[in-house]
Amino acid sequence: MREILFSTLIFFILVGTTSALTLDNATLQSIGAVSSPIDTSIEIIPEYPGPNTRVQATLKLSSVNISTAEVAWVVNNVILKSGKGIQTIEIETGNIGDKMEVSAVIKPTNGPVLVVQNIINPSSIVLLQEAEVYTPPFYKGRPRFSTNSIVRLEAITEIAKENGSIYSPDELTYVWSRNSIVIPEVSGIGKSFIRIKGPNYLGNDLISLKVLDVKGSTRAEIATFIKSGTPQLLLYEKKPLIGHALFNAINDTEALSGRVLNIVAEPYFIEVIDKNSNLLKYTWSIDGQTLPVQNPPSELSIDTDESAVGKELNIAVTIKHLKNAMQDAYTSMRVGVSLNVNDFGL
Amino acid sequence: MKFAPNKSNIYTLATGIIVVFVIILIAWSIFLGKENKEIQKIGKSTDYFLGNSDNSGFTSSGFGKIINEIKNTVTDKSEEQQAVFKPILTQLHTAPIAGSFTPVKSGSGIDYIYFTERTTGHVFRISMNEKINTTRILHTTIPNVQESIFTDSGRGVIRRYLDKENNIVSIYNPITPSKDYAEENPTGIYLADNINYLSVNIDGDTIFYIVSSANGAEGFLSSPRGEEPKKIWSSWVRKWNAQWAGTNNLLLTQKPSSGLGGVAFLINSTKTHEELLLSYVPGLITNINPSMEYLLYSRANEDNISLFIRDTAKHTDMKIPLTTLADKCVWSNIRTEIVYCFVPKNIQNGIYPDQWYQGLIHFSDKLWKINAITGESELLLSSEEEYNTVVDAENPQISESEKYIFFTNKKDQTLWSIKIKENEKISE
Repeated sequence: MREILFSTLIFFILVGTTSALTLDNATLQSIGAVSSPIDTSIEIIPEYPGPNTRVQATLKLSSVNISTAEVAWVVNNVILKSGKGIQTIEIETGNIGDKMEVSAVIKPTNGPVLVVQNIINPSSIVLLQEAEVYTPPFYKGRPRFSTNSIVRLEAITEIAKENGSIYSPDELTYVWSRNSIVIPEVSGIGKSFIRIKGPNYLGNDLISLKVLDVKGSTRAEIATFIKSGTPQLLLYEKKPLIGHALFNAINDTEALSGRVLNIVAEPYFIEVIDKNSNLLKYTWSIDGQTLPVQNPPSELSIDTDESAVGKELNIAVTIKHLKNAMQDAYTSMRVGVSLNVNDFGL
Repeated sequence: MKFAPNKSNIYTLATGIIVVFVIILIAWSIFLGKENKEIQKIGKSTDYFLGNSDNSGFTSSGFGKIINEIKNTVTDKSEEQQAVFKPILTQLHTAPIAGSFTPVKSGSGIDYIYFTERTTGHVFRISMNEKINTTRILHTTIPNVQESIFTDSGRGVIRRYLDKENNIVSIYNPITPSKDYAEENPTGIYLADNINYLSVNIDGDTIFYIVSSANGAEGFLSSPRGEEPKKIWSSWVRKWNAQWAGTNNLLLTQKPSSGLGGVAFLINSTKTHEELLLSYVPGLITNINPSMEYLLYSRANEDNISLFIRDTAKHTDMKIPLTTLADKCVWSNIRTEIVYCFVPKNIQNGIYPDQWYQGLIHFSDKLWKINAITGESELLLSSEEEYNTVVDAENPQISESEKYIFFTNKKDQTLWSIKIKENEKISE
């Protein structure tokens, strides 16, 4: 009987037929196969694959010369590929909850038949990040991280239980690390979203996350870099009826028109909720002469007289963050003055 | 000698018959062409040969009909070639606007564009007839409107502005209020404070809005008046863009920034299921077509911008050899595979899309038509070369008849149109 079963298996191996094959313990015992021997494994790359993803399964075994051995790869009890020395195969994972049993049956030139198994249970993980910094209302872009500011991270997972249903975030354990050192204060059960301080000046922190199921098995892993940046300070015109013209920043040497020039400073990516926060100290100057504190501090109003027409003003503004010196910002613009009254907003 | 009917002989015979038939056809068509020329020379009608003669006593013959169809096809093509329609660029309003809307399901046969003037908050409607006609249809003044969203196919408007404390205020007004309504709501209906993002579905009767707070972002569905808000989604990160996809789906995309990985989810407004469409695409901007068959998206890392179209059923991506951001494009509602994109003539060094959104860099756009199936693209208009006018398009929309593409010029927020098709000639 044992010989017949073994011959059947070898037949499949040699012929390479794609046929159903149950590799249960009884079958393996009957052919005298050694199941999951020491020093053998199937390595899956990526280690925690997502759904419908191509993965590479590679046979790792030191005791047998694979190049001369007959190998049959069996996926969910179907022989996928067989032949001499086949060490690696590529397969595509199923949907979330569709487990995949990957086995390799190895017949060395001498010695017993070996069987190695691994289970692929696809999971999905996405890590979202966003800095807690100021951007103007209606701004269409994302807040970028600047030195020492707070960053929000959220992991969205789809990890299946044994029965195929999906774990809720509250059932999973999240282990967050910075540069491979666990951050215990934000890690734990249900900690799928966190706030942490970002890197210092010129820093580039690797934030990584491991997600464990109720059995403590790692089911998903992800990492992202957070790079320190600097705030940006841009100037815009403010017109009485249009309001802040955030669609058109003032560029250097641009000519502005009007008896009264209203200029607004917008400090992108600075760590405040409101740009007129008490945490920010604005210093405006024109042609090197410092002006008194404005009200509101982010806005400058200039009365131009006829003598200013045709001249260029050098307008500069500095912002000092009173709690985070690394977030100070500065800009200066040479602005031409003309009296061509704009039709709108005057 | 006997003829042996084997396979080879049968094929030879069949081929011979076909060749003879084709020769006869060619000869007959040459004869017809000569005859036709002769008849035209002496001013006779060709209807005899085309089977349409009403005085010859002959009725339409099948052969005549076939020739008629061939003649029409050729004529149409040669007319098309002779009179290629040149798109027409028009500035529709010279004052800055805060938003616009063109109905795509009115069935009125006339293309309209509604818009809100930024300075006054007044709402205007332009009918795109032979003569462009602008009418002020809402006189309730709100100065400094930053954004306006039209609801109920243009019968309502939500105007959004900043109060003195820099909070975002959103007010709903019907365009033509009843007397009772106007008395009850003299200033309009205030929606939730600090709505970070707001968009309306294609029927105009449901809005999706995102409110951001220290607890993250929460997405609600409600009527345009803000009645019965229903929370359908939330996220710890706060800055999202949303686009209605089909009737019940919303495409949620993290706001983009150069080089930062973006994520896009599709959520169903009736269920809480989220489907991950794209992840970790740097500077991701998405734009899905109304039938949800194709997803246009752009990736941007500093000044390296690329454009892709994903076939959502096949999960395949096609790179489009044009460099633009996906929010400078608009999908056709009639031909689901066609998308029109404003493509910058040059992309100067910069950090995109950030510096474009910040108004620090402006483009000079050309209008292209792209086929999502074949990837073929066709240049429709180069405004700088043809009109000596630089336009930097945002918020492009396509009219119901698809004769017009409307857009806002980012640099000054004025409203423009490009007529891309000729009016159909009314048959007499």
